[in-house]
Amino acid sequence: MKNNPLNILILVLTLFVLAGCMKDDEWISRHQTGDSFSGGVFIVNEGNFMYGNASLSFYDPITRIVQNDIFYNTNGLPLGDVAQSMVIRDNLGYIVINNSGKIYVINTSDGKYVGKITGLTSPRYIHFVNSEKAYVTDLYAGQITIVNPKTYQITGEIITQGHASTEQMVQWNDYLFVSCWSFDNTILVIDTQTDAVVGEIKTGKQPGGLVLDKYNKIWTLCDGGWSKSGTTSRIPMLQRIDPATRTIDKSFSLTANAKPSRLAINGNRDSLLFINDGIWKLGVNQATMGDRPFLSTENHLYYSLAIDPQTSELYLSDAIDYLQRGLIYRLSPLGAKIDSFKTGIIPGTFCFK
Amino acid sequence: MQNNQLQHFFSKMRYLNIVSVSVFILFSANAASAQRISDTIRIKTIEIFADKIVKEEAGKTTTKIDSISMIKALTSNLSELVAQNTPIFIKEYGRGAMATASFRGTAPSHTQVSWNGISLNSPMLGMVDFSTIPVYFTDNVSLLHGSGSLSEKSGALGGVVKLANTTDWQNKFSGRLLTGVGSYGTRDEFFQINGGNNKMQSQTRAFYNYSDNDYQFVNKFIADIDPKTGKYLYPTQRNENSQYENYGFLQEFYLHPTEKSIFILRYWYQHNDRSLPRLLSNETDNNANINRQSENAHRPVAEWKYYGKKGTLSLSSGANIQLLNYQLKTKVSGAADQLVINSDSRSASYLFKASYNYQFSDNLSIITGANTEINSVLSKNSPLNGEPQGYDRQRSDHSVYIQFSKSFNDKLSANLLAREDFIGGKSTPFIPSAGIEYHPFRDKGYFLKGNLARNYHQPTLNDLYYIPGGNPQLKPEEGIMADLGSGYAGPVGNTVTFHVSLNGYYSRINNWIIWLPTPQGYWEPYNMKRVNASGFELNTGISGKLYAVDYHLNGNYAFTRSINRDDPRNWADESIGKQLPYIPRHSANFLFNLSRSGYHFTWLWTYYSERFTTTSNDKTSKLDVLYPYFMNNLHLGKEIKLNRQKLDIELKILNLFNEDYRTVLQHPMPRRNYSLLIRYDF
Repeated sequence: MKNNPLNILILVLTLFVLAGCMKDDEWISRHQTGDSFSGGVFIVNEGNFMYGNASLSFYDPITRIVQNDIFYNTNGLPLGDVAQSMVIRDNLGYIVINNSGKIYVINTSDGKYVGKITGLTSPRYIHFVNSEKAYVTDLYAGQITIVNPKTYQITGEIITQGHASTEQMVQWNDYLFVSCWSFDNTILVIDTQTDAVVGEIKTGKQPGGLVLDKYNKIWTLCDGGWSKSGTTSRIPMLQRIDPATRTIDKSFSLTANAKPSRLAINGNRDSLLFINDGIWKLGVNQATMGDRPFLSTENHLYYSLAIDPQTSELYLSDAIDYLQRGLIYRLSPLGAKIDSFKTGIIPGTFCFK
Repeated sequence: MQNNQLQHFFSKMRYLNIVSVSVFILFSANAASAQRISDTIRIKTIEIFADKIVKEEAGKTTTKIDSISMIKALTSNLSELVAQNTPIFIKEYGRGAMATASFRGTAPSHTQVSWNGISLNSPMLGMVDFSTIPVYFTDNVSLLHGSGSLSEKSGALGGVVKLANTTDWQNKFSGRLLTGVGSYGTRDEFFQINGGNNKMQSQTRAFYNYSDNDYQFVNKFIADIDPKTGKYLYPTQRNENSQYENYGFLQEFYLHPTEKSIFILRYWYQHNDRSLPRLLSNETDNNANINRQSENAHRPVAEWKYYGKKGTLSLSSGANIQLLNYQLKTKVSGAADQLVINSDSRSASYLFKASYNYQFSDNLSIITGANTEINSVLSKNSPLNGEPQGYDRQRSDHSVYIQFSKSFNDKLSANLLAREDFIGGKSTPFIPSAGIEYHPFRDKGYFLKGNLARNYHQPTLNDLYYIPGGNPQLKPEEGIMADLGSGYAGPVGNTVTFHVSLNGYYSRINNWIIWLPTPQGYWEPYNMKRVNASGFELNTGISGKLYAVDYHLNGNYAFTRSINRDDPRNWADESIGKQLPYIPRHSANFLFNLSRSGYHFTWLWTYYSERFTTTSNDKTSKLDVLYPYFMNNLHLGKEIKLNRQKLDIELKILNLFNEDYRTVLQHPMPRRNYSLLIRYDF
């Protein structure tokens, strides 16, 4: 033990230093994929709130190939925090990133990022009035933002007095119907010519999804809000609106403990589907709801649902524990399983190309 | 000589430091000169080693943070002190932002933090934000690992971080002034004044800490496209909206009315004000989504101890009251300011404790006690456009325990502990713990020890009642924990002291509570079937003197496996058998200190291996994993002694190698930065 312990210490410590280097640069190194996206479906994976791990996947139903993390892999940038929705217009994909306050615009052929609309508050959905005007709803802003989807500029706003949250949109003639979801019970009517609120319809609590059926009636799914312990005042509902008279002409009440979500309509626009544990189906002319779901849960806690407008095939997502890559089932219009695959964290919305 | 032995004894007690108070008192009652409780602040470095097993401590794994580490972290908060000196993993959300602890691979609520006997864990959240506890306000920090914590309290499935304050009965008038300036508009101010005599001591401390915290970075998570070249232009940004301001005040009175009793009063007030910066990917309007969190905490404690000939009675009562306000504001062009979230909460714990320690002989003792904790939470959340919602709940938790400790000879000691908790009026299953320690050789520095225990952690009031999501049906978390350790602590030659210990542990935690999102958009707590947490902790240290240079080295390495043993949700679930998210498998740190003629040099190094952000431990995308973390900090200083007074000037270089890094997915950390401190002790 003639060795000087201090010398040994210094040697060991020096080795530790050499081990130190953390690199964001490497982490973000851009890699291009040669892949391109023809027919298929984009899957927007929300990611975890405040993690910033939203991602974009693409599935080709013919080859059955799924490509994950395409936004990051193509562009070297993360998609952002909580990707909410996506719409395709003129070969461009507009991806609304809720908690990043922006809309990324990609070329849907190669996934390349071509622009962005920034400076939003808590954007949820985008709706195109024409190629130079689109509306963006918002969870907190108390306004609908008007943007120019060509120049990516914010061009104006429609104040939604008394309604902080605006959610989904569906257009009938010149009128846009907007659901006010968070803590609200209203559908606003906006004249797309004048950008003015011209009417409102009171609905059940928390109207979310909106679809237009083949008879030009609008359907909305009111999730009923959440129940406070000790109170049972919530009544989730599926309601039908006549856009001409702006009145509710049909209402289906669900059970008080139901937690319905994700209203969708099939390709022929004559059949509604939504999640309420299992998958429920309702013909638009049906008089009663029925007491059994169209598809049972089979150990899945379904998170999202979409219908391919061309083929009426179903896409169902299961976020599993919300902290791992979620599972997608592709089903025939009658509910037979065709394929299953995994995408990203919390697969939330589907955008068919 | 007598004095030296006592000094040695007290330092040893600090080194061991568990039920030490009661044991120490037994001695001090007999020896008048034992009234001198050593002043930890002044002692430079003392490594003292047990030459006899303290039977009450037999089998328990404890770590005491040494005085050099304490002084180096004086202006830091508990998160930095713990991350740099112990095997506990600290997950921090940015400089000055929230920091939570994972002790032995467990959840933040499984680490209990006690301050002079009162729990700092919020009954609302269960956890402690380590970034809100200033090192200034505590004199001793020790850890009780795993089941070793049951003598303190139940529920610490990871362990207990024990903060204690002491006084110096010999003190007449002394104090400390500290002022510091640092990068990013950071200011640190602290003072302490101690005065009194051998019957009464008063200690007053206050601190103020502010930072603009607006460090600059290149944001490579967003980019504009150059219209001419098509290349990316990464913006240079500042860490906006993350300034923090903390201040606090601590008053202590120590009374020694008779030879046999001590009465202590303490009151700690603190205010924390800060906000969490937005994520790197954020591109909202500049005034959108600004949050602000402001907290006021009041912590009064009264303690009375009576030292009989063979028995010690200890009574204490205290409270931990935390008032918290969180606001999320957003300003929208064209519309009025929106207060998106305005959430107020008041959580309070009132604690009453009694314990009695009776020594039948040197070889047999009994400790028995009872605790009552009344927890109440009033939580109100006023969302935009919605009606306020929240809950107002109380729960009384009672606990009784008894511990027998026996030394069979000077090599073998053991103890048995039994605890029974009554939570909200219901008795929980019986909690036993057994420990044994053996020193096989003549040189008592070698030891072997083991401990086996059961433990329960109750759901927090948020777990049960939070709206939305709270689940009153949640079951308590149940842990079966085993510990085995071996090592050596003692002198090597005349000038060198050395210690090394290796502790392995295995914990099966049933009904582990985790909050997960739901399809409705809010989060709900749920009981996982089981988590197995196992691993080992290696701690070693050496100090001595060489060529007139005092050196001191302390290092930790921890291997942590915290494995999900839940039932799979369905065939597609890939989380089973995987490491829990954000818990590194390997973590290590060391502190290396050299001093000569008042000049001192300290190097702090911290390492964590990669952390997964998914339960499936995915590594497909770089967004799934956080790269390994290496951090180097350097402190250089000079101490000048003027009689009893000392002036110390120290320069801290933090992030020595100018790393560009993140500790969670999307919060940047500062590059190399500096802090200059001037400390004056009188």
